[in-house]
Amino acid sequence: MLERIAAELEAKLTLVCASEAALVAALRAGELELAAGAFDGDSPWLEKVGSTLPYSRHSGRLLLTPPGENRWLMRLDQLIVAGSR
Amino acid sequence: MSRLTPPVSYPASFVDAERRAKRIAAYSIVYVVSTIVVMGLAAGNSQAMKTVWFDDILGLIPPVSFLIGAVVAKRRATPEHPYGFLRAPMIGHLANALALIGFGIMLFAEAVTTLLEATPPSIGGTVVLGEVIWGGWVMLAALAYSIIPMAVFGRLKERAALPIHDRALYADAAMAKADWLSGGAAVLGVLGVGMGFWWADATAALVVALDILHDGVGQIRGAVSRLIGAKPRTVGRDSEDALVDALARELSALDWVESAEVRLREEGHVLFGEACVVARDTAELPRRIAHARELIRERHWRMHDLTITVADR
Repeated sequence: MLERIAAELEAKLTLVCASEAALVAALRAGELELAAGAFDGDSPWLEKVGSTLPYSRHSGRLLLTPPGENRWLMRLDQLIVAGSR
Repeated sequence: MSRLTPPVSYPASFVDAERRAKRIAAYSIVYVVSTIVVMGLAAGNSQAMKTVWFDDILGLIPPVSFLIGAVVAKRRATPEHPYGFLRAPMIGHLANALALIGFGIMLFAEAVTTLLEATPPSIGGTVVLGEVIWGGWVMLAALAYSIIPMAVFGRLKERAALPIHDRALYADAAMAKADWLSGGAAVLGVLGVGMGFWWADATAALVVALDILHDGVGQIRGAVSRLIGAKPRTVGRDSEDALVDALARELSALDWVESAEVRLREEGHVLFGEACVVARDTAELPRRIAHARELIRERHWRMHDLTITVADR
């Protein structure tokens, strides 16, 4: 999923592993562009950061984005929906 | 035996205007209930949606209390309530003023919290008919559904309140205005978020909240003054009711009266009070007083209960 997005954007993918709390803090600090994990529509983190549409229909999982980066979020949502067709 | 206030004989123009006002209020209740149901079905349990929901339920108070006040005011006086129930709309006015203040406080608190937390809102895409569109557009459409009818209701209610001198309905109009103004602030907010100004939403809400609080304080002050028996004032334009001076003038113009002073207070839609006249000629006083009362009632239907006392010169 992430590789496909990176390829679409012609971006280099750099992965970091951390706990949910650390990922959210990094998103808020602007250190990360995107976070993936066991996040779905009920995640308590959604109030703190942005979230994409679900990329997997059966698990309802979604990606987290830095708060207020609406253009980036919109681009991701378009890629996710295009990819699910 | 207790002496009971006779029922008010409302002129046809009042009856028509009040019927129309009641219809507007009833339609607005149906509309607000419909938005509550739609929101309830669409919203799930997000916190933001719950707040909107609570605002809507608060918005039900003013039209309901106007209708209750209008109905109760028509009840006849009883030995237990010799002055009748004419002040019911004034209680409605106070309730509505409090609802307005409550709305203002909630909006204010929310805006300040949002600004202090400084978390830029994220609005992403949403799928409509298979296409990804920006979620902000959907929000704007939903806001338009709530703003436009509320603005229309607010205007109609304001106009309907004036001819029937109903302060509860006038405060209801102020609430409708508060509602659509806060919706308008949300529109600016959503557009602002779209353009990258994350604080636009809360700042617009803060400005509107201050306006609502200002309006609400004025309404509460007005409602309490009326209940405490302040000098009558016109609804809406809030100038002194011309009836007070007109009455003193008309009584003074009677041939047996040398001078007259009046003291009036509002009893809902009508006025009660006393006139103290200095008589030039005290012959046949009971007949003359009855005649003067009759004359005043014919000229001013709102001057429902005028007690005339006579002083020696």
